[in-house]
Amino acid sequence: MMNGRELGGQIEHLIRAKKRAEEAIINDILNKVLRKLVEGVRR
Amino acid sequence: MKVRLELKNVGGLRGVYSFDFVLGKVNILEAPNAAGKSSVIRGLAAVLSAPFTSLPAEIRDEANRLGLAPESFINIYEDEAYVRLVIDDEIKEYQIRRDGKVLKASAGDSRFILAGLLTRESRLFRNLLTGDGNLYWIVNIMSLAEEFKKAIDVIESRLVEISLKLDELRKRLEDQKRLRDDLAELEEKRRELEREYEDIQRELSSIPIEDPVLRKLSKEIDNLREKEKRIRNRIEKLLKVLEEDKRTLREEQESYESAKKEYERLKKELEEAKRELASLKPEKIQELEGLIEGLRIDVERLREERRICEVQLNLFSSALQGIKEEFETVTCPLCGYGKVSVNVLKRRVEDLRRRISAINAKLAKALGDLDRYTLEKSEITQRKHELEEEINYLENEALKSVLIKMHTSEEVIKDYRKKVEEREKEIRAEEEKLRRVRDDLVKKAKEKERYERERYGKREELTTKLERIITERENVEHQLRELKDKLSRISTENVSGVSMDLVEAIQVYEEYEKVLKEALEYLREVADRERRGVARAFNRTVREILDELGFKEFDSIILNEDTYELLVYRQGGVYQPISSLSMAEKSAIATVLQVAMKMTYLPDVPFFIVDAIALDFDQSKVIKILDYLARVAEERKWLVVLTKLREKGPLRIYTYERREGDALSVMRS
Repeated sequence: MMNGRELGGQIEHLIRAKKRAEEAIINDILNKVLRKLVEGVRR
Repeated sequence: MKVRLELKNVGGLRGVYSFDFVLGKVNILEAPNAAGKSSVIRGLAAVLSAPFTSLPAEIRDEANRLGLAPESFINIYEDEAYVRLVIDDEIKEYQIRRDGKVLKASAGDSRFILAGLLTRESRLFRNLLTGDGNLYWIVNIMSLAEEFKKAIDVIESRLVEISLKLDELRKRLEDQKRLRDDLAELEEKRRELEREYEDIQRELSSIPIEDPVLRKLSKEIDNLREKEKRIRNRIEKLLKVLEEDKRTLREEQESYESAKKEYERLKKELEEAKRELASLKPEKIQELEGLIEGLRIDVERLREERRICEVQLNLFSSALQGIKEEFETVTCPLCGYGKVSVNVLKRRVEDLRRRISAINAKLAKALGDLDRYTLEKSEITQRKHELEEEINYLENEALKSVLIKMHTSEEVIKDYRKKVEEREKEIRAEEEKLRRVRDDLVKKAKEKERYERERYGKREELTTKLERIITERENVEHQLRELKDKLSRISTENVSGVSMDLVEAIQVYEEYEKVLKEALEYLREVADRERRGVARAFNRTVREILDELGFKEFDSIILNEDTYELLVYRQGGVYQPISSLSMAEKSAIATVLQVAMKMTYLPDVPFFIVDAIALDFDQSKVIKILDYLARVAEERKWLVVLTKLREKGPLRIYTYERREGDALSVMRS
């Protein structure tokens, strides 16, 4: 199971590194999370 | 280290202009009004803040206020502006068209617009000068809190989508359950129909298609029909013959009647002839014969008498002719001896003539009567003869002939009457036969119908039922197909390119929702921490600057970490509301805060622009600030640009040196 706080940390790290939040990249991360969850259920 | 700024068609500067600055120094840009100071500030701000994508409202407003919008940034005579900043071997560029299209933009930081410029128009200055101490925007924009907020918005938006999707999936799950129930019900119905169908098929197959009873009945009916047809034909023929006989009989009867009439007529004619003959009496003829005889005698007598008279007349006439004298006498011619005179002769002639005439008259009458009576007698005789002949003819020929004819007709009539009777009898017999055959036929047909009804009515009933079941079954199957299609459509969900059933999809989305909510919570905490941390860092910098500058009148200037209100404390920790500060104090605090903001939030962008007008307060403080900026520039290798109005002369750039009195001279000149 994925930890939501880890996801938040990942986004935080990204924002801090880029000094801004890029909507497209965040959406991409969220989509990846969904894909991982799908794979998890499938397994 | 040199820094070169090149401007082309920026603001009031039409064409290409180059400005050289020294890094690690406060560079004073001195020029009269409309000589390009604002253009240099705009050019530097633009090239360091670009590319201006997804600007927060606060920064966009400040950019417009600063004149970075294309209509104020590009020279009014040109359609394009270009900025080039060369720092050692690093080049930053910014190129924009009048339609707003950014053609070139090196990666900058838009926060420079808020943090990198110290002018009286800066947001911070406006805040302070208007007595507004709420500086939430600083922590929000200058920290990454706003960026975290963006990420939070994205996640919240995604959570709304997930929530909607989950609602939809749960509803679909309910629909799926209902549809599955419907499907099961329909399948049961189909099975029931299937069973019913098989039962009927079995029952139908037990009814033989070839039925000997029915075949026998059909044959009997066919035979009866044939028989009926034959009888009908025979009756038809008999009727024709009967008609012919009747016609002959009728003609014969007419002939008989006609003969009978003829007979009556002839008989009557005979009676009339006989009566007429009887009327012709023999006495009449005898009477006529007597009259004729008498008349003949009279005629003879009269003729004799006339002859005598004529002779006497001749004698007397001759005697008279011989007399010459009137008085002479002559011997009587009649007797021949006596004498007669002329007169006597004449009298005698006259008398004789009269007598002859009278005799002639009588004779004519007698002859006429004689002719009349003779004719009458002849006619009567003739008629009698005719009548006798007629009677003879009628009695011996005509009547006999008619009687024979009548007799013959009577015979023929009798014969034909018999024939007609026979025919009629025969027809009646045939009709009786026909009636019987028809009765049989009706009986048989009814029997067949009854049999068929009993036997095949069942079959028909079963066939109809079967057809109904087939139709119903097709209907049910159609419904089943549709239901399955629908079920199939709603039963799977494509999640991230993977097709999965609803329960799995709901599981995934619920987990996804949980993960995102946790991430959201985390980012909210981070944003909050960021704001607090940023405020704390800001306060720390402010404290350092205040300590560096030695502004003794202020004990502390603090941004409240919870409310983000700026709190100013005088010596002894006395709080003073911003609105109650003097203008000079407000400007001094704004300057300190602006420098702190730049140092706290944008320490890596080595540029800071200061408009000398903003430093219009206590000169001793200004000198301290300039010295502080010069120190910072030197230590951090910043380029601080101080724009300053010059009464006259060309634009010039020179560096500020931290020497005794230099600051004062700079500010005064």
